[in-house]
Amino acid sequence: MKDRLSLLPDDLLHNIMSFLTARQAVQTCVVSRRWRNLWRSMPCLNVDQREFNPTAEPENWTFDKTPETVRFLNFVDNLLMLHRAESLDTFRFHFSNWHGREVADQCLCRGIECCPRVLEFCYSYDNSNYELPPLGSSSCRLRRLHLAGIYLSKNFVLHLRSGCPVLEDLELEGCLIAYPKIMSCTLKNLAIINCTTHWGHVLTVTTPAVISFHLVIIPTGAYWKGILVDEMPSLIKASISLKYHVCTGRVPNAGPFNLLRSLVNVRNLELSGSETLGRLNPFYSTI
Amino acid sequence: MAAPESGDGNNGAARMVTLISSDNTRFEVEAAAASLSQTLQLTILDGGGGGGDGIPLPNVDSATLSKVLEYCIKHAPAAANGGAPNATAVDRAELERFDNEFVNIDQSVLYSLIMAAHNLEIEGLQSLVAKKVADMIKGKSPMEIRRTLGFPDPTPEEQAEMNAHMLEYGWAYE
Repeated sequence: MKDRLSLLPDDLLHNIMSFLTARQAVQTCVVSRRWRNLWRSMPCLNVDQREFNPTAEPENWTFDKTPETVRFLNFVDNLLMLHRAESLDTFRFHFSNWHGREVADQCLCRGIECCPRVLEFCYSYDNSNYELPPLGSSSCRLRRLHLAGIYLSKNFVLHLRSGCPVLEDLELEGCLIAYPKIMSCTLKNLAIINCTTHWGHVLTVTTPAVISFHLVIIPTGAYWKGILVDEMPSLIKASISLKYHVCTGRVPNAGPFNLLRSLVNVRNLELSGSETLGRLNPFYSTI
Repeated sequence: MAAPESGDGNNGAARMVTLISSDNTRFEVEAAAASLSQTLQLTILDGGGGGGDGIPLPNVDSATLSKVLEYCIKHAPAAANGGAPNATAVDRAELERFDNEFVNIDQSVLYSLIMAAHNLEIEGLQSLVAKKVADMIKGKSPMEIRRTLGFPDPTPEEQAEMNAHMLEYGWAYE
């Protein structure tokens, strides 16, 4: 008698596999004939270098590749060679050391050409200035974009405005926003967490359709110059956190800071971080 | 029995709809809960399911349907609020606790739920049950996965095939 799970159609088994990492998903091919080639067409790829590093800590820079890194690079090579889906719903890629770059471009290009709806890309190695390959026309279906530890060039930031017609969720974490003008008319959920700009730049945010806005600022180095947020008339939920930087002792009080206009209609406001109330003081006096 | 509401006013009793399982059991639920199903939502918006008519669901048996409705009733208030933006941390924690309990069920029920959630297009339930099966697979060897998922023991021929595949896919196992 056949087990009931194997009787499910491919897309339902793919849905189950979408909750596995790419490595776990590939491993299911051994389980039975039914599962043999399922992974090759799965529309969700979740590649994570940390799975190959038993310590789960980002590795320090080493010139020689550790055996774990070699296994990871070999895995990605094989995966890209044998995976055959023409389009992807979700593509997640997390690399955690210097050598991850070797396959990052290759992997991202493959992911991007499959026009994913969800793209999550995280580089957890310190001091990264990894720049994304151009998204081009393949961002036409992109609904959610999460980037962590990435260098955001002028081309990329401008592409957000004009090249992502259905983008609703944008999450930027620990990114260097080299061109400090985030603009999008389609965004509904925006999170900017611990991002920095170049020296002397003020970050401006123009996202009029946003309903949920999450902002965390911890000023590191001398980079923080301020933020200007344009009106967000549909905003329902906002959470703002400005923190004191423990090492540098810097507080985010240099430069212009304007969130007031954007918070006018907000129904759910969450404030945290030691420096937030001081900076938002004018806001309170107007209530 | 609650009277089907006429008009679109918000006052008075919530609008009820009747769903009929494949084995002819009738379930009466609030339209808001049934509307978590994209499939049913269309019918309900068209005014179906009220009064004595009922909506037949030939692909879902009564045991599975009652489980599906348990999920929908619990999740309906949050869905009506537009999901995340207004939910408090307490509400979310309570839903999470419910979800964890909810999928703590026999595998045959789980697989029936996968099909039902797919047919009725209930997005949250589809993810919940798929994730549960994925959790059963994670971190296990092929033989352990087979046992966990209730696959029959492999024939010697199948076993040889599995071994050969383990070698071929060494790059994913190293």
